[in-house]
Amino acid sequence: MLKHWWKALGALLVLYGIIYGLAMSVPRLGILNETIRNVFFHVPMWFTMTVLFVISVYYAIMYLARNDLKYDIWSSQLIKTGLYFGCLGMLTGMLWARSTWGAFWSNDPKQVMTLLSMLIYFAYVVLRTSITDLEKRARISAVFNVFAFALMIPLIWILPRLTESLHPGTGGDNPAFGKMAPELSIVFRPVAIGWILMGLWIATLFIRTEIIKYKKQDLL
Amino acid sequence: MKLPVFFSTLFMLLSQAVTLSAQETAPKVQMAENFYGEGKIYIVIAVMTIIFVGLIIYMIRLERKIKQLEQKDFRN
Repeated sequence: MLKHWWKALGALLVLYGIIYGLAMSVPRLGILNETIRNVFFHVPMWFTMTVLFVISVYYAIMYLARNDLKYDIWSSQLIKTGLYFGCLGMLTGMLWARSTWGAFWSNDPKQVMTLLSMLIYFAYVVLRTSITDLEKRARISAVFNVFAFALMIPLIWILPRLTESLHPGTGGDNPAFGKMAPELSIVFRPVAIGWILMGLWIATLFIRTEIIKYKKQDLL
Repeated sequence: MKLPVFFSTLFMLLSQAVTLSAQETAPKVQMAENFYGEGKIYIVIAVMTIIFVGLIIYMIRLERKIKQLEQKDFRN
């Protein structure tokens, strides 16, 4: 029970976001109105995706260093879980954009570059399915992972912040912590941590089932 | 000469204060004014809580099943 504390913490923090995020009174902001509450749900999807991708690239490097298939499983399943969160972030973002920016898609730099980054990671998943040899698959996807990550840094973290964007956080600001009203960010930060923990929990379930699958086929 | 200067600065300060307070109240942002009034938002919160707790229970059960499979030896 003791080693599961972080899962309980994650669930409780997300629950706090659901309950308090709706029950609190939010600052009156033009255009956004009540939809500012989406910040407790839409933004943590991207945080979770990013954290999962960061851990994934760590295990990719570990695979290249140690040649242990277990690292390949961890790395690949973290990307799959991260992509789930990315899809949720994209869908919720498009819905939110429809009501605030007037269209599901307005070619905002952050929209375009995040989509590009996600497509690179989708290519990773497709690439993996096309290679049958386990060692080869693990090595190629680990290298691909490192390159995908190296591309994600400018695509999500740097370039959208330097250009004009509909998203908050242009001109070198950190979008999540820079201009957010303090009464929002004090709720947002723990909720974001909660979602990240939930993402890690879900990723461990994926990893463990994949390991069982490998063991059942005598591959590990 | 001193009195007009005093009054003009006073006027400037006052006019500034007036414009500042006008800026504070002027743009009326549309919000769900009766958000808590009829108590129905709490029903939405309750529904979302039930669904989320249900999903968590599902994940815990799934994790237990995975643990059972992990303890099984597939090599025989």
